[in-house]
Amino acid sequence: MTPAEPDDRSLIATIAKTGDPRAFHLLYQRHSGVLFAMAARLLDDRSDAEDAVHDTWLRAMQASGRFHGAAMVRTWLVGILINRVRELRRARPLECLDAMPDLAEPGAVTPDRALEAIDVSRALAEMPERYREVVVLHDIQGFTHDEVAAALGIAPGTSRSQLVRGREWLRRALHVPLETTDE
Amino acid sequence: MNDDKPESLDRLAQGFARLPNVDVPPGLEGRILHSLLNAGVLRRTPHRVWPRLVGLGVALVLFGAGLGIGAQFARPRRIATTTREPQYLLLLYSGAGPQVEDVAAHRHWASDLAAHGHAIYGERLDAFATRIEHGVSTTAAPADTLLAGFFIVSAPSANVAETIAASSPHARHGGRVVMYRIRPT
Repeated sequence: MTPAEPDDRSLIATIAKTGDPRAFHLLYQRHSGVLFAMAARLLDDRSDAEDAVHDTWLRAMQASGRFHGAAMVRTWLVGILINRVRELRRARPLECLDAMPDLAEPGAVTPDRALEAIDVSRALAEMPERYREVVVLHDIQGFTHDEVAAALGIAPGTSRSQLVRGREWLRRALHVPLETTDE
Repeated sequence: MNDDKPESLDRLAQGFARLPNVDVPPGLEGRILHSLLNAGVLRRTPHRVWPRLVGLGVALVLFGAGLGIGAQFARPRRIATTTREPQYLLLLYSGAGPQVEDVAAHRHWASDLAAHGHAIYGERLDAFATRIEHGVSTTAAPADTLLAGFFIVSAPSANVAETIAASSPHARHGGRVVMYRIRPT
């Protein structure tokens, strides 16, 4: 964002007041990268991710007049996206959320071998939703625990504990030896 | 990854870093914008797309699935648009010249228009076509299948529409674009 460009809250207010598409364009440019990346990681499907981001913007802009500014716009948008992602996932066939997958052959990921992207992608795809959301937001998208908590509607402490469990789940799924106890 | 512990976390972080980038589909903004305009959440405003194009309007028109377009195409189905400006059909031809292969560039071009509050609709056409003549359907001859894609735009004047057509990636790379003004019905 250049100094001359309005901040996110101003853009939201402009959209609510005038429906100016240029304000939407600026917001879209700032946040759609994160939203789409998150949706793609959480849904494992680009088409579904596209639908999720589309619906997120539609819901957010329709609610722009009710945005109070207490939260960051990015966190607000992510919260809406998460809700939509959950709806889309619920519409899918049931998954065994707590099953611990055997994604990699035993020994496939050795200390000498970095985790391959495909292994991580597969592991994330199989990860229970409650862990995956926190891991994707925190470890991949770089959100703080406060931001994760705001987006998911949970306490920061819950975000921390879910992250620890999510990482533990990933380690097991990827056969990464556990060298230490978390937090 | 800063509130967990050492080596195994480093390796998880390396794994995350190796994940491929996820790029936003180029046509997504236009699709969202269209929905927001149709829902009345956003309103089109006059603006400058190019230095000499003030008040350019582009409306979205949907075609029925499978609409066949040839040298003489059957009447397109018009739908409600967000503008009363004249509408223009841009036919993008392939053949010996440049091909309409760069879908991403066209999406980006359309997205740029849409980003300024205008909607635009277009599609790439399949190479396979059916020719219907005298009540008989046959596989179209190669000469009939040079049409590679189309756009429908609205513009305040033919000059503006021509400028839009000339700005398309296809035209800028030397491809042939034929423009028709759609007669109001």
